[in-house]
Amino acid sequence: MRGLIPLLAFLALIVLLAVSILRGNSDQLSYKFLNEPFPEFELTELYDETRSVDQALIRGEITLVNIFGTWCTPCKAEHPKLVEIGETENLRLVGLNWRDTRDRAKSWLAQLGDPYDFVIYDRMGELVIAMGATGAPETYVIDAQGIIRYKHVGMVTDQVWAETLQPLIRQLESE
Amino acid sequence: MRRWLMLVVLMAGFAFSVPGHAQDSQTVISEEVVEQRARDIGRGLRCVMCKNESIEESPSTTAQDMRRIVRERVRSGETDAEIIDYMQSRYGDFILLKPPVQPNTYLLWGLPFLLLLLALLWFWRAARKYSQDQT
Repeated sequence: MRGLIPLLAFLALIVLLAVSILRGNSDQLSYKFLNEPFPEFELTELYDETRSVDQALIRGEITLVNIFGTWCTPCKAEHPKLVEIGETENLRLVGLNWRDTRDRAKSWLAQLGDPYDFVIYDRMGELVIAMGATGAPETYVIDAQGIIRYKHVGMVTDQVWAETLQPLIRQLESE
Repeated sequence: MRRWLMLVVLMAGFAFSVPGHAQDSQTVISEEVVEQRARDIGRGLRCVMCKNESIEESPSTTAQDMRRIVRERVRSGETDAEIIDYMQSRYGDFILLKPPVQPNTYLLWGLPFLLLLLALLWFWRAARKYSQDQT
């Protein structure tokens, strides 16, 4: 019987470690800006390089910020859904174009459709890193006060939109 | 004896020599230093896409941008701690490859020592019992 003690102690340790690993949801777990104001930035608009944009542009109404790049294949795959959202929803859509040239980004949007109310041009990933993003595509829901309420990593599919993003936006609209 | 003398002369030469780049103006950090410091900082920062590589090792786009941002900040005169703090303010403790010692990691850092202590305790008791049985 006493010989079982080390085994039981070992099992207890495994359970303890497993619980702490499984408890966290890795995407939302350590996202520093969840329920925090959108970070400060100073960049320019994609179509008009003389027009500077900052965090003030994000405030005032519920906004979807979508990180994309023409080099990013899943971004292309999710794009029709964003175009559809842009057409059917009364919602401000902001594009954050990452690691592109202006010309490439503009012709990509001309070809696939431009659902964005405006596009922030972030060639060097300045804002992408400042907002703690991990890659592209990523989509953020920001409330009217400019607070980040949700971060979605990966494509906005029909399912993600219907089950997660749309209900959240409806809830924010009723707040 | 002559060999000793030569060694002393050689060592004195090293001791009084001034590294070539030390005369650079103090506000501008040489690119060599920037690279060295950026690499040291980058090796401690986790690539957020590939989880178990540092940003210095990872080919991912996010890591490339992070490397560039670290270098820019070194050039602008920030200290290593300030740069690491900036990254931590964006990505949390997760960005640090070596977890900091703080209340939620006490178990992580302490467990090896605790287990060692328990093992020694067990060994000591077993050894004492063994020597008692022998006599």
